[in-house]
Amino acid sequence: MQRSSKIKSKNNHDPMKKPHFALIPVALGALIVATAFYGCKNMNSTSGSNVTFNTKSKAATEFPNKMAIAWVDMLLDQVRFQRVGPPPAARAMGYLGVAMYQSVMPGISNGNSLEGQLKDLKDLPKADADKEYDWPTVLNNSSYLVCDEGLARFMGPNTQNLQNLRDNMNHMCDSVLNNKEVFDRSKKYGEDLGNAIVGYMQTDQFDYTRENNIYESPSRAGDPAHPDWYEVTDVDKTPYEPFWGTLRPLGLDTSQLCLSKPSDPYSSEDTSKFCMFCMKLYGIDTSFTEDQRITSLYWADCPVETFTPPGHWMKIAKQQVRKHNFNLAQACELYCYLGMAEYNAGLAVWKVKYSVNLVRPKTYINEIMNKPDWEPYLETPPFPEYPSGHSGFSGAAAMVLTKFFGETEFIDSTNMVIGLDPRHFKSFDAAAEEAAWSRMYGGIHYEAAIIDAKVMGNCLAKNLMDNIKLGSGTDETAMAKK
Amino acid sequence: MNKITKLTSLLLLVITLASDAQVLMKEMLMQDQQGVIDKSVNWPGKKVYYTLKYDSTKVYSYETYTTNRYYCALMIADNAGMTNAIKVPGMIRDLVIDTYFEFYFNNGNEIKTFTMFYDKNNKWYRIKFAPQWGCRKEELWKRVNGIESYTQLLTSMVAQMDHNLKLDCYKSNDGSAIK
Repeated sequence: MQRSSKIKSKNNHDPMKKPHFALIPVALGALIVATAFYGCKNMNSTSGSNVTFNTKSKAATEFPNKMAIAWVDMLLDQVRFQRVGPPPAARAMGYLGVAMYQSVMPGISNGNSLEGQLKDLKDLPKADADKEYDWPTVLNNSSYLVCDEGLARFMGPNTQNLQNLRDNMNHMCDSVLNNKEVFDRSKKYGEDLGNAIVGYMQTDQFDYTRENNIYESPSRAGDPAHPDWYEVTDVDKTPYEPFWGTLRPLGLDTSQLCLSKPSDPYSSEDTSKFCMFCMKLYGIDTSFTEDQRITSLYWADCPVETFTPPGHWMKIAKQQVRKHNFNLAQACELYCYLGMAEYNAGLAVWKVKYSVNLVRPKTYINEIMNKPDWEPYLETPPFPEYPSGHSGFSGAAAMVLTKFFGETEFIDSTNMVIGLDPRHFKSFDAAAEEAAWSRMYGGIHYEAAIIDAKVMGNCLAKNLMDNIKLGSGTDETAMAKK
Repeated sequence: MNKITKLTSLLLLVITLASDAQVLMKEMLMQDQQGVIDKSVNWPGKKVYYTLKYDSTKVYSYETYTTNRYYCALMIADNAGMTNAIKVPGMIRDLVIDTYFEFYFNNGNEIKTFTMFYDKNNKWYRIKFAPQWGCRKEELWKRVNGIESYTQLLTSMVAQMDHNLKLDCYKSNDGSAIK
């Protein structure tokens, strides 16, 4: 496109030149060659027909979503059992989304490879265009390896639960397929792809953040100029994930993470806006309504007890995938966007947290407002306050889900897992809004952290979907028309 | 010498197991619990008697998981016969590492929820409750560590209620459980 417009503009802006009709065939020929070259070069990164589309195989749109759901469920179960915190959980979800989508991409007529779209993702193995594949088998074997890598730091490699799911699903695919050659080829391709994505995961800086995690927490006592600094408490001696913000984003560069800055500076003056926030928070706490209390519990999404905030949104997505009877290609496209958006949200939020280092409400209310025994309803987590993690995760997820399903009412039953009643929401954004404010009801965030983080999540998810072109094999990916 | 070593190892093992023993088990939540506190703040010169009476269980299922809600009533009185006891409906959710206790205090005008979080791993608990104006004595809900038994947990909780609330506020108002 750029080349054609340059030629066009040159002609238009040189009125003195008369056309040389003899050159027209030459110019046309050059145009055809240029268009063909440019088109081929960008086939993988723009929407349109998929150059790697495998016509020998059953399309990914013709398979049910079962295999994708099985791996998302397995990952979230392990996140819960292995006590994985929100940012690493979101990382595992992000790469699982990448693996699932890339596994079925050759079976999607308008699919676009992530290779070349995600920074540093290159040399992925390719499916042989002349041979038949079974996409669920490919997905099963790549997802196993990527889940195993994503959780390896928490449960060790080669965990039995993951192996069991892979083996059971392979057995089922093998039986249904009844074609050993196709099954073996698909399994091998899935393993090759999974290993390549595992290799990609290993270059995102995660290992560095494990091995070089000596963090000097700033101290208010040590620097009187910074009464605003977050400081570890006697209970929480280790600040959580101080280097998480150094990881490589998926599908965005740092400038597209929409990193926020606190709109109102810290102040201990009781007429300041900051202090007003704290008084409002304290006021809500002491006059807590039943609805606010339940809201804060519902979205607490504590690691161990629940699937964590990003996992909660993956479960909400699952309810929609089932409700709209998404096929395998659609489910993988959704989980890919959602997983990457949640991973990026965690990264962006944690990056800002440890650059702003803002003190938590508990400390402010105990020390500045002189309420030494005050405790928030939710337990204060061991990392700086600004911006709110859950608000960021929720803003990002709501943006992705709204793109796929539109403004739709829904009932979320995820937290029946902890004995809480299902809740009804008018839209994904309304749910995200509630999730965000729940942190204020719970007494662990000020207003600005909630508002800014939700905007940040919305923004980075939109950037992601603008940047990265996937494809689901259907003309209308969004189910909004329903 | 060998016998002493074996005996010491056995003793260490028993101590280790005992210190890791679970304070709160599902079966306990389905049994009535009772206790007494020696010196009442609300009723000077008297003791505080309490009974946590089990009522029913409701099962919540999600995918392959089930979680129970245990409904109960907390009765508090100044006499062992529990005459004119204050009756507060409650609900307990027993999760993986936390147990949530909720008690619905009714002063006749409104119901306010008392929440207690107990951390089973670290054996501490804390309370969050903003009672009705006129029903509060103090607002010092203490975080308490080193809870080694269910009775100790409940006794400590009721002692904090006795210290911080005007318990007579809740007399004759049984308050319906929020089910």
